[in-house]
Amino acid sequence: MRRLAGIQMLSPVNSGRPFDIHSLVMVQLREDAREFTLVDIGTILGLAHLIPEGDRRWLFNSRIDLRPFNESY
Amino acid sequence: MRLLNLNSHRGRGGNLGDDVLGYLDKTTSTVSTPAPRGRILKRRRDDVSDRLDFCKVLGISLDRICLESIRYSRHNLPTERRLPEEPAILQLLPVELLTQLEIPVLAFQETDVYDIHRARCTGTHRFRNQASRNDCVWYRPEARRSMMR
Repeated sequence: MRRLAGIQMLSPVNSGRPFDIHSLVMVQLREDAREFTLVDIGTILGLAHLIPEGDRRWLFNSRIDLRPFNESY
Repeated sequence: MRLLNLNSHRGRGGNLGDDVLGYLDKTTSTVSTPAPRGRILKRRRDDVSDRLDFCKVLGISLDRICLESIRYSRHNLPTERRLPEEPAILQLLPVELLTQLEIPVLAFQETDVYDIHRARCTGTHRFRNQASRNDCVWYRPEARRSMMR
């Protein structure tokens, strides 16, 4: 029995450096990204909180406390 | 997604063709491997038993799922346990679809206390009568760290 997760990978914008305006890292869905990638569930580290920012782009919210977020949502 | 072994599938009253059964007899063991690093899959969908059902629920093409299954098999499984690459057999291998993964995450400034993160993925289906829910998570391949959703 194999325990797998289907994922879609995102890539950092600006080499992963935070933007001056909000000090957050932006990630994007690349044009050549695979629609579906299988990985072992052991490689998944935890939840991330992303804020939509335009078409196929998100801001990685590094300020949120994921404990109440995880409990209430 | 969880690939079922033959005994699990028989226990649920499954009925498979001889070619699929032959593959499963060769490659599966009667002992399930433990969930890696305490991660637990939950909330099984009862309407998914093979890859055909799987692609209907998630809205992904069957070709894409088969190709990705083969890629995973080639890169991650030992030769004697790889998935068959004939589409007719691959499509019919039993699978389960689970929509929640519990991930133990070390609590802030603790060494032995863990928070449980519940990552959910409902595909195109609604979550609790609201919009679909497909959570973002951190993922670490063998040598580098990436983000995915």
